[in-house]
Amino acid sequence: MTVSRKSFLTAGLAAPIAAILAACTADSSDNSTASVATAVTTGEISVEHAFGTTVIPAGASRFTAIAWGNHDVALALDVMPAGLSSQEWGTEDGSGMMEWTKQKVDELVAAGAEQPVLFDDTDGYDFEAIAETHPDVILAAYSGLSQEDYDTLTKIAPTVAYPGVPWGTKWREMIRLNSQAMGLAEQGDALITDLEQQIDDAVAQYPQIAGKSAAFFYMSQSDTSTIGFYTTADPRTAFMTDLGMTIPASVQAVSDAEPETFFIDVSSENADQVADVDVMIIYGENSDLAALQADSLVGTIPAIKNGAVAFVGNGAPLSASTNPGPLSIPWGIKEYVALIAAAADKAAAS
Amino acid sequence: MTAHGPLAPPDPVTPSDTASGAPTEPPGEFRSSRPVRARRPLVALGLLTALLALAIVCSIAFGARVVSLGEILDGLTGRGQELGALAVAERVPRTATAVVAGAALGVSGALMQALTRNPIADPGILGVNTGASLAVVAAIAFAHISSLWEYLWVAMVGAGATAVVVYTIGSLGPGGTTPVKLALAGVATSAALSALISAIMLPRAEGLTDFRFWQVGSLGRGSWAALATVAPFLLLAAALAATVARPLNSLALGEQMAVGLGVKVGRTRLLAAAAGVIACATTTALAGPIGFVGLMVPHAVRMLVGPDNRWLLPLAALGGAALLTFADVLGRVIARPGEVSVGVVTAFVGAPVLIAIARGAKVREL
Repeated sequence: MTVSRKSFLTAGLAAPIAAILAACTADSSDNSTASVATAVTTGEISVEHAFGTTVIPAGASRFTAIAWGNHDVALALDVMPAGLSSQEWGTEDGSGMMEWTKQKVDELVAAGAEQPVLFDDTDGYDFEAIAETHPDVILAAYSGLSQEDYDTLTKIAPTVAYPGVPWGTKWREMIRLNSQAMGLAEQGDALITDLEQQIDDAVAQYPQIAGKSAAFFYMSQSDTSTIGFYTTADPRTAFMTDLGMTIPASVQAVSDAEPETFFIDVSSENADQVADVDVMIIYGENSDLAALQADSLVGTIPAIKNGAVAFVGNGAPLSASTNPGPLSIPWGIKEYVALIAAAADKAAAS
Repeated sequence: MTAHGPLAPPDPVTPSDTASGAPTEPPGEFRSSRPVRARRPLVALGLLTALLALAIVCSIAFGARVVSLGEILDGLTGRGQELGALAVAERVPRTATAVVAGAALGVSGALMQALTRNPIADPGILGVNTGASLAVVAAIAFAHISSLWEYLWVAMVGAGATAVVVYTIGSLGPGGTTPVKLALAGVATSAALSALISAIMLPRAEGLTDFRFWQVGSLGRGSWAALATVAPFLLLAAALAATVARPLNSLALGEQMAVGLGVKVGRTRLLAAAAGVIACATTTALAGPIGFVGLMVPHAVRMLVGPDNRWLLPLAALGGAALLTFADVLGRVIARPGEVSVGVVTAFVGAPVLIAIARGAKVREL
């Protein structure tokens, strides 16, 4: 990806961004002094991704975000998206927005921004609704767009797709690509640096997780015949390295062998394939552990046997925050790291 | 759903002809007692029993993990603590589940074909499995049910309601219920119900496993406890099927003929429908919606023994058990180290068979 010409902020944007970033560092939960930023691209910007190169003309100022998390990049830079995809899983108030998204949207609306339009992606993208937001740019750096989706979206506005694999965009790439497309590349980089600091601060309190191997799994306690996990292409498993943990050799090997996918199912008959995982992060509740331990095959996995499992819930906001983004990291990182640390305490000494 | 190909228009009713194209023989009571005919069911019984035995052996021996003979023996005797032996031990209840579910689906399909006199009737094609699945999914999402016992009852209601709706839609319009209308009603209803399942599940299931289970059946939940829970329902379905086998033969000759032979038509239909719906609803609660077994097996069995339901129903049970067990073995070995859900395998095998049956010259009312 390249930024062909240096893009600039509109007058007055730099100061509020800096202020917000400072506020985030000081206390992530209370940054209610947001002011709305208006981003307008000044030069022609070209962004490379899986479907080719998208050229964004100068003067783009309306940004519509689809899929997952891309809107949080705009919001974290104080730019209100014209539209964003609603979320059902992970939201509890029926607003269609994650807690961290809603909080920031409310702040920006209070500061004078227009309420964004919400799209329902459940059964494919609602292209009509997306078009009606009259976007100059469509942000979808973290998504699973098909070529067909991309072609249709491009007819509406220049679209920023994922750089490699569907649903395989890491959080830094998501911020970089989307912020570049908004002409806010520098602010995007600053945001990344700030988030890295917040992660480091959270991790610093828990030395026991350093160097432990970990990956993100999904399992059903009612059907223990398969073990599913996200590969290193997926931001959830990739995030373990941000926490100073390592990727288990088994997960790394499968990820390398299957670079086109972001998740893998292994039969429980081959449970020994993930025997080298120190800590498992799983969608579900602590009460699921007993059923997994009781299973004659899954129960042989050392991490399960040891109870070195961080259950992050399934549908509550915390479980959604484990897919890292610029607003969900500040929102949930302390609780998430604490959960992982508790699981790491039970891991066999490695 | 997959593409189904153009459906040939039904021929005029020729009840004594079979879809198999075997030499015509009157069904049921009217069968001649030539010894050469009488032996065929026994040959079929032997053949299908041998197939089932082979399927069971394969299901124990082969899976996502390659195991040694020693591990198989350790697993079967419960001695080994190595993963290979434990895996083999886990294959035993799973195999039993495949046998039971396959038998239920085979009988259910045979009953539905006899009842609707439709060669492409199947719990999957008629949407009954999907209806059962949707009911369970809705009850999980909105009523928070979570046990197999609860799934069973909800699946019964969903399957029964779907059967009534599909049959009603298929009967609308001139010409009454024709095979093509019924199949189209089933496929359309099934597609609509599938979309509803997606709408309910997608926002809720991040762990993909649960979601897939209710869209594509899998035997991964099979256990002795689960089988014990569903056993009474399947025994009931089997008993009902046994009582209607003979009257269904008479019904195949046409309603008026059946009445003339002293068959209580309404009662026979109701009991046969109840048996078919209970069998497939129970299977769906246990293993999710599995299609095409109920379609393929009765056709194959009819080729062997003709349309006499007294032989067709039990042999369809044997054939269904063998087919589903083989399909599960295939699903476990083709995607090592993972597994392919058995419902995907049966769809891959069954869709071409459906097209062949539907396109074939022999599409006619049974």
